Amino acid sequence: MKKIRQRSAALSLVLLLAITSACSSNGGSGGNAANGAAGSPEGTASPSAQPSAAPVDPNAKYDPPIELTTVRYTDSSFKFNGGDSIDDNVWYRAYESELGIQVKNQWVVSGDQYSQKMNLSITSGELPDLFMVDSKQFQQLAEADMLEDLTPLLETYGSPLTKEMVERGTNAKAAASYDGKLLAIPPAEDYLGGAPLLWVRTDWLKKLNLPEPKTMDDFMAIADAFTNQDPDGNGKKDTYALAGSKDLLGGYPDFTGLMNGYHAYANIWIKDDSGKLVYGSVQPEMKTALGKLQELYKAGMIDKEFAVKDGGKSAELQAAGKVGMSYGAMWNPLWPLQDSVTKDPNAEWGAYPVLSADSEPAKAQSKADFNSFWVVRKGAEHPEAIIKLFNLYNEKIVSENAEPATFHSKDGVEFFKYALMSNGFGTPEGLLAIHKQVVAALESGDPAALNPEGKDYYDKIKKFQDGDKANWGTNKVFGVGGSWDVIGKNYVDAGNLMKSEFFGAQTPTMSEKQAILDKLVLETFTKIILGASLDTFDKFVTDWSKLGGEQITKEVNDWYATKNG
Amino acid sequence: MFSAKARRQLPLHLMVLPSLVLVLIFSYGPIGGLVIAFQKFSIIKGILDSPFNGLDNFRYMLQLPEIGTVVRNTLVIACMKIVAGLAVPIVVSLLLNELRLQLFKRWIQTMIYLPHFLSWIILGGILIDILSPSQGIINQLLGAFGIEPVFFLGDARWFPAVVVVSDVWKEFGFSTIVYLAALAGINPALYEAAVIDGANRWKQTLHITLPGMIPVIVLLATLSLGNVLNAGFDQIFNLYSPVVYETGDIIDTLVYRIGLEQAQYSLATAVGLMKSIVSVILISVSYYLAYRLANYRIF
Repeated sequence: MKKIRQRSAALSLVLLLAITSACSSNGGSGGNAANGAAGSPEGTASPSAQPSAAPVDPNAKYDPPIELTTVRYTDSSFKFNGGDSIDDNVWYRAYESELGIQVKNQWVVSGDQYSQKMNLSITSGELPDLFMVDSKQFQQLAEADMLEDLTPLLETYGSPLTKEMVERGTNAKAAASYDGKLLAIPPAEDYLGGAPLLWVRTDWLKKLNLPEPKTMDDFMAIADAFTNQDPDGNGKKDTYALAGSKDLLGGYPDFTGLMNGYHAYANIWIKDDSGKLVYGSVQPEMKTALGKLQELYKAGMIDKEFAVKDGGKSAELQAAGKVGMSYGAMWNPLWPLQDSVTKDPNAEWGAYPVLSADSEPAKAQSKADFNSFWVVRKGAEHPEAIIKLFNLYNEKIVSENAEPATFHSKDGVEFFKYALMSNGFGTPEGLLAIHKQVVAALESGDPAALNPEGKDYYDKIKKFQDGDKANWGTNKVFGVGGSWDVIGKNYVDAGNLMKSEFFGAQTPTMSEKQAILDKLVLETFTKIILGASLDTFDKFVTDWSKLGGEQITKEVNDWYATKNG
Repeated sequence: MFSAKARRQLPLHLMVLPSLVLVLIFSYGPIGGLVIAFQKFSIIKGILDSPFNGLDNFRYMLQLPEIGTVVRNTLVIACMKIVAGLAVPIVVSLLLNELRLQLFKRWIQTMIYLPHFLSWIILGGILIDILSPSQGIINQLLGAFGIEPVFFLGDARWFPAVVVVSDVWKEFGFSTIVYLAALAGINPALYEAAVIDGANRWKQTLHITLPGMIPVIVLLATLSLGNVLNAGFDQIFNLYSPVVYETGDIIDTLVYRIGLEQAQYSLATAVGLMKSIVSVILISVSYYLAYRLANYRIF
């Protein structure tokens, strides 16, 4: 027995040593890789410098083919035909046959784990040649000088279309630059996709003989009727006027749309009269807006339990035909409104711009999130490959010679998702342009001029017009009277958009204090809506400043000054 | 070179080996990573090259304006859970032990054991429906007795109670089984002797059953003391909302929002380390007390 104990002790000691040595050798190689990555620029600067000396054919095929490493994520929306996979698909084959680039995925994870896994790769120094990072990672990598400067490469290798795609969003390009150098393919600059719209059950309006909403007074009259006049006709007072969730702001359901009616803008940075940037959530207009929400809640027009439900839970209520209005982004018809129409064939929703409470027109707030940057590891053997890959993407998807059935999507399988740098890119003009083209094609009955994405929407809207309710959502987003129709006419053409003026990386105090301040905002707003005294707001503004808001405001204004000065 | 006994036990040792390896890799290996609690950790520089900043992360943690509230919430919820989590299963197992109908006993045992297998993400959705003031079954029952609906999950006064009760409901079936096992180990001769001495059922419970359970009770109590700073992240995360932050926000949820959502890994590690240290101290103390007072030793 004693012997055994000694032996097992010895055994565990050996195991322990084996593991610690394994760990330390891992750490060692990680360190080496990091050193290698940091030390190699001198070694590999020449190949990238050489081609610019001799005249180059930007689209020359690599011969022999080169190998390029990257990392990817997939999610449930990725579908594959036959033997295809994220490692071998139409795009990866095209990269090899047309450009001579063999793309190898070092790892593939599901979408929600990508950021964590990327952090791990950065920490361990095992970076691929080409990869996508979020804004925080981008900032850190840029500061550590670990990214290749794409400015000269874009100049030399970029096709005219590629240059157009990079240049089209000045703020996005600024976000993808560091020290005046372009370090990433900028993300799409989209100020419209998140702007709030008002969604109203128009069949209820008709039933109760109400006019369409034009002002906040109309909204209040409709809210009252939707709550008290039994719009669903079941003899019970079980309907609510406005959807809400415990997150209060963003996507769906979104109170910002109502706040915008009172010229209050939650969680974005706006310019005040003196030209300084201030935080929308702590401005006096917000107090008025919260007071109005409190009134709505007290009158039973908002679900009594909204404060404990997340978006998914409150969508259940709306899909069940118990809610008559909601504020939310342009994609709301696809979810959750589509569910409501599927369940109740009589249900019909109308899209309206945010309504103003006074004579001044209301502006919809919007914020472009720059959070996906495709970058090249400093010291990668062929940094110019990123530009060539992006050229090919634009050629196959955006240009007039696009081959949609092969590269975009077919029969519900979206091939474009396999491509590198596909995140958030459509045509240079974005979805609004597609909407306009689709509507024009619907009027003329000729879809020939549509790009592949537009053709897809066109077909779905055609199906809807032939009675297929499953495509109601697409029609409501892209068709006449849908999301983009309202956004185009009321927000873009009429200039009623309030863009967040801050789009830089997180400031130092933000990364320390933002979570605390967000909590304070959410907690205070919720309490006020649920009935706390409106004076709570004044104390909240003081607390917000003290807990870091003042410092953040200073940093944001410093950033603003450097950007404009 | 092996004695016969050792040879016979060798397969058993081999069977322990895989779990030993797992413990070493996943419990002992990461201990080295604790060093980032004392660093200004940057994912670029990694563990080896990040600069040390002493106790700055701990100081920052103690300066957080929320820290008082969340520590209080954590202690209140965790202590209530520990007490209720000990008392309820003991009572239930005593009651079950008195049941004569085996089939009925088994059935109850299975029923109360079932929620243990559901994750909080599922139970969270179910509880929101059950506790709803307008449609929830609980409030409909209360309404039948003329009681005004209670907004259990939206009222800061009720929230901790809901958390404790739902946690006990989910887990008491599991602990009950452990106690029942202890009861099964009590020598029936003791009861026979007691009956001869004229002890009724209550006296038997008091003088035979309970003392027979003491070692297991002490064991579970000792182990649960280590949880005094664990108020149950996944449960609260799935149930709370800004309305109940005041009484429902705990250390773990605060750290999740600050440390992980904002990628401040050093801070998250510092808090985790602090929690572990407190737990180790509490377990040691309670183990010592159990040894002195109940003469009970685990090792």
